[in-house]
Amino acid sequence: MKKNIIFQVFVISIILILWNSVYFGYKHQESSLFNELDEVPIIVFYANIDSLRNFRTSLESLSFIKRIFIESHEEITEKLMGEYSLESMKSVLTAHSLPNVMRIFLDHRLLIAGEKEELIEEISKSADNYIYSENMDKMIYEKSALLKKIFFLINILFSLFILFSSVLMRVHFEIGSDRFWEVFRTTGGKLNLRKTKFYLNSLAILFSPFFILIAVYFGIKYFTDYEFINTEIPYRLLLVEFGSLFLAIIVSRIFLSKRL
Amino acid sequence: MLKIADYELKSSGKKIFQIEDFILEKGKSILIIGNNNAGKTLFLRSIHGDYSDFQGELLVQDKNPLFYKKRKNSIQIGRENRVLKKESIWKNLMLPLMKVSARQRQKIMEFCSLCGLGEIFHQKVDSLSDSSIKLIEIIRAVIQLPSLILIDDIDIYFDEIYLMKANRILEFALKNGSSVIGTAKHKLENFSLCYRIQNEKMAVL
Repeated sequence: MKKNIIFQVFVISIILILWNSVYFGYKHQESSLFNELDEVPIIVFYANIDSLRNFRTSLESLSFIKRIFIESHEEITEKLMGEYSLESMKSVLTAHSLPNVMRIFLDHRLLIAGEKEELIEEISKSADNYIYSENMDKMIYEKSALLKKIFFLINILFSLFILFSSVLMRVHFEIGSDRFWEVFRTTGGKLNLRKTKFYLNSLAILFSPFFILIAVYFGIKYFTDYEFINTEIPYRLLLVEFGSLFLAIIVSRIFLSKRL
Repeated sequence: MLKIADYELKSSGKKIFQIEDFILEKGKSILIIGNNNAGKTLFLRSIHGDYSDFQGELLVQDKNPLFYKKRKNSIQIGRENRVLKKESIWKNLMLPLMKVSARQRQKIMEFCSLCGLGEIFHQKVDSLSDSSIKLIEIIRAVIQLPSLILIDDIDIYFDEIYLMKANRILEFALKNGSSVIGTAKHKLENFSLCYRIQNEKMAVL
């Protein structure tokens, strides 16, 4: 393989590695945001413990429920007396019946749009009362949407960058080899060999960076303790990257049509 | 090998010369002489398939030169040096060859020794004289054994000694079935036939 093809594969591989690093960075940030939200429970109050348990059973089948904790009013009374030394107030606490409490923790990454609202509506219908941090929810979702938008823009920028840099490199090196091919053709060489070589080199430029990228991914994932890469290979992103490179080859081919 | 009939060569629509009937046999060499602007170079280019402003029939191995789209059936050695000056002599000799047989390698070595290039294979071409570069081009053409070898203005590059060396190399091609057409301003030895372009006609001398 010629030096210029190795150089092009190297540069494109670096761009792809950077592009994928941005993806993993985005996923890491998004994950941190939702982890924050996952730790804030929806607190539901029920006077009747049986109704509370029935409601818990109905919730357990939902995939986005991470964990549920129930505390009966007896347990709460005991806890209050133990933690704050309120033994002397026992008669008062038992006289004023405390509610039973259920804390619901959600896995926000598994939530589909509208599911959380449906759950809150369900809770508001059946529970005596509930606490739900709507503001924090809103703030995290806004941050996540902003992050998604930024990542989308970065994707467009990377896509344009890889397109322009690939086309420029390809055209530059092909123009540089004009003299070689001119001499080759006029001295008895195959007239269509340049075209054949262009397509063969295109295949190398198109596929080699992805082999390198996947090798780097698995190398980091399985041979290091680096937790940055904690998600699966982003196949959809790879498809976008492949598309950008493929487009770059078509554009180069159009630019070089008279030379080939 | 080369068949020409009712041929009329033109430049910008103006007639340069005509050939009624011409056949070049396999393994033969001819020299075409003529003054400046006689149309020698355009004639070679039309045989090579690079120039199409002509009328009549021109067939290389019974096919129009334009038929050869993958690989030309002739090799033209023109005035311009067709070498990569920054590359070695050896690389320039090997340039159009996809595979080199042991026989071809041996022949190349033999021809290079004849031309005094045998000891300097790895030297860059830009340190050579124009006549040595032309010898490299002739060796490179001969080793491929094309149907036709077209050499334009052969008398420009070579003195008598170099011309003898070039002819010895060309003999190998002629013996192996190639034909050679050279052009010059003056008559030279070692060609089977000599033609002259004069008064818009190509006539045998």
